[in-house]
Amino acid sequence: MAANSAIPNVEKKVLVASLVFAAAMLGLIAYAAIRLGISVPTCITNVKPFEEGELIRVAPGRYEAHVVAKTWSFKPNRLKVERGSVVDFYVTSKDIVHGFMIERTNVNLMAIPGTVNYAQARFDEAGTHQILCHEFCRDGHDNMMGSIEVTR
Amino acid sequence: MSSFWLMSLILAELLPPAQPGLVPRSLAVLDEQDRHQNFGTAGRPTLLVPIFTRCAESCPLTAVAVKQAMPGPSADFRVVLLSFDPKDTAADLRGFRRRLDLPSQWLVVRSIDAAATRELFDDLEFRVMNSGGGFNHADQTFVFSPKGLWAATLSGPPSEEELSSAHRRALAADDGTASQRLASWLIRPETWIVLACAGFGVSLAAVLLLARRAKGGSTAPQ
Amino acid sequence: MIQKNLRAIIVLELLFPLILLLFGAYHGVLQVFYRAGVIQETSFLGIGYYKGLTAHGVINAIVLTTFFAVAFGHAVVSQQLEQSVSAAAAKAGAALMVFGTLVAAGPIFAGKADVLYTFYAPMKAHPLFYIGVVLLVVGSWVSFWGWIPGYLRWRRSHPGQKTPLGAVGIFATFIIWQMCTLPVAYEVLVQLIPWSLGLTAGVNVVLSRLLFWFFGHPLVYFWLLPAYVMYYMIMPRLAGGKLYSDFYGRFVFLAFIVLSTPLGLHHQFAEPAISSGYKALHAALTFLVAVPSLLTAFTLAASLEYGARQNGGKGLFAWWGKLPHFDKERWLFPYLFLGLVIFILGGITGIVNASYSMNALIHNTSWIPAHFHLTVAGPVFLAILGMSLYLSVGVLGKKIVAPGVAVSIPYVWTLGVFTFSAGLFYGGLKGVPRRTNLGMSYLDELSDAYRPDWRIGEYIGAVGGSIMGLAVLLFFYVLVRSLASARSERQADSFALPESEAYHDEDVGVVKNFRPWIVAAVVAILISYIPPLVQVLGANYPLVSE
Repeated sequence: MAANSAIPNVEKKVLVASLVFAAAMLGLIAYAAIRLGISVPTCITNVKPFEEGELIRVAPGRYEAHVVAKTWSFKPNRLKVERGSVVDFYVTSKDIVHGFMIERTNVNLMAIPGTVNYAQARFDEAGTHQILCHEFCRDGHDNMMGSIEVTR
Repeated sequence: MSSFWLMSLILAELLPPAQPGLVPRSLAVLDEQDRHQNFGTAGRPTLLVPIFTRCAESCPLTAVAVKQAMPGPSADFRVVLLSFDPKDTAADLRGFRRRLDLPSQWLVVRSIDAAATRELFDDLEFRVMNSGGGFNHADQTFVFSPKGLWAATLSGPPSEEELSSAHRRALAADDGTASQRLASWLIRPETWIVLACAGFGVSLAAVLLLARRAKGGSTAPQ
Repeated sequence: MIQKNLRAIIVLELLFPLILLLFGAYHGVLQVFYRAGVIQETSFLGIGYYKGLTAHGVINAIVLTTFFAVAFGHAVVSQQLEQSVSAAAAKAGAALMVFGTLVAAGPIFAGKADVLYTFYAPMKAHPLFYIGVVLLVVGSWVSFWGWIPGYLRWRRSHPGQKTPLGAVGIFATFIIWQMCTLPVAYEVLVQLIPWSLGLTAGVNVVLSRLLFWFFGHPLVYFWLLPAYVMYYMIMPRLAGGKLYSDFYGRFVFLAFIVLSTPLGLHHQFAEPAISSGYKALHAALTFLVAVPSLLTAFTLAASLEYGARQNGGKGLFAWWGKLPHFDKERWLFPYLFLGLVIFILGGITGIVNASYSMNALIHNTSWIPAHFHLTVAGPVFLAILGMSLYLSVGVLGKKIVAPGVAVSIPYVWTLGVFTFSAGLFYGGLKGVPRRTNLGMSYLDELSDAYRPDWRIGEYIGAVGGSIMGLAVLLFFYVLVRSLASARSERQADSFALPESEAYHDEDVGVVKNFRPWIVAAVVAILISYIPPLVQVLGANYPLVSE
């Protein structure tokens, strides 16, 4: 039936509709990235992986968290900041690949040995957020966790 | 081919940032005599160089490069060296100026509000990290228009050509033409999304067009 | 008709992984109980959680899928391209694949390869694990190469004719496979095996991950495309109709060749060392690869509608009921149809994963296994189960015993996998991690880390997983009884895979040749992967070891 004819119109419409759908989704993502600044981790070249983990108070309400992931703990693993603080998280690993996720934030990073990963989070509400490793790192993986406590 | 790639990378760095019209929040700073200065508009293009006086590598290199590139059309720049190290004192600033023999018109200042400085740097996408008593930071210089709009970011010690180009951008940023605004959107890496999608969409459409033409024809088997 | 000298090989390649699937499915069910905190141990009956997890991933997602693609490929290619498959290559390929699997299985079961199926460096596995995987992959290559001379001969002797659609789909599958296994071959042969043998000091971890995910995304199309072949070639016939558009079928397979590979970075959104700009480019390309699947949805729905209306279907929606959903004669239909139903949700959640910044919400949470159980454990697994049964029984000239049970299996499976995924999607959004033995900490009431709010998602997952296990048991019941039934040589000789005609059968030149599409694929790969490769290599990351 209908051999050797041009492509039926309905098929072209489906192709156009699919492309429009894909473009619309992409447009929304682009808007979020460009206008709202919501993006993914990128490449940081000027930072060598650090050896010691620490929480540094740059100013009231502004912190740098240098986190070292190592089988099977994060250093530091108990962080405390005040409400409204902005924290710059720098994450590296001392041995194998670990994950670094802070629940109820957009901080979701891979800690890869030899590299430094970065994310920033603002803590506007008091409470405690769990930090956990979500990339398999052998036996103690299910107990590799920490927390960040946001005080009033 | 590689020089084309290189040129486009350089050009990308000199194009205006994707937040046109961003005016960095005013920052309270102290100069080498511990006098309050206003980091506001100057009626001239401004070159902002974030430094800390204990920096052994990028800060002195960049400062010296700017000094050497300055004579010429880009002498119109107001140069501000801003130290973000809370431990830097007025004496440290004076020492830095002396060591590098910086021109007297340059402003060497330090911030007294660390949190506000970091917020400014967040806006400029300039990341600073404490490291071993000093800091890790990107080797970047920021260009502002006479009205105080963020016009461009330079990477590494700038050359004379880069400074001239930056100067032109700074002046143009105040005009805010439609094509300026478009250019500022185009440089963002995330904007490649739209371009890639459009490109492939076009090629898929081309396939359909080809398919339409090839009615009943057959190609020889491979 | 399927080539006589391939029958034994096809049956071997279908049944060998199914035997391993007994363990793979067993541990799948155990995993949901570990994760729900029902089992609060590091191991159960002598098998550790992570060892079992490695075996589950390797068996179900690598061994079963690869063997099946090859076996199904042998059947389709020999049937559609006039018995032109090289039996020698098929035998060599089968031998390599079986041997490789056994070689890799040794270290896994001995506990020397607890690295999960992604084997991320610098976690080190025993060298035999990597070597076994290499042999399995090479065996699949050899099987593919055995089809090529026959294909070229067929093209020469049928000038101007369209290659049958099923064969086009199988070839598209293996062209993608051939291209994408090259980077992972480099990773394993050059980086991992020498390191595992102690010949090098460490691995450039960033590079190894880039190479793995260069392979890891097209891998899912290698899994999916054989199912697509069934959807285009077989399903319309089963529905009593025709394929709506032959052109779209070809276009989709060829588009996958171009679009399956240049987007692997979407698995690496959360990693450092690669610019967000390149990640954005890959995100855009990932949205484009959704397009062939959207086109497939349309074409298949149209094909089913054609068939349903032939059988008296009426109305705007009522015709969906006029399809062989519960027909014991055409028991294969629900395996294919329900796979597509599951894939709707699998595809939508895949689009969420690809959405760049949205990744931060779900990366490495239980949302991820929920997503991929709606894809690889949805359309792919159902197609494998259904076709393994259909093909092994057909090629051996046997009969399906208990077709009523056979027809119910995909329904049980669908209920199970939707339940499982619902629980894990919900949990993932609350932050439940994947790849974690939750019963040891987060779901252990006596632990400091106890998270009572994470229970409900995992309990639902456990219910779903149990139902999935039941479906697999039913499957083995039908399989074993059918294979034990009486054999008929005449039936074996007359067995053939159903082939659908096309309603719109246009002769469009640009989809009659693989070459331009392969060239486009290479160009796309160069554009999308050279910049991040240059970036990673230029940064000179150190060699790291455990």
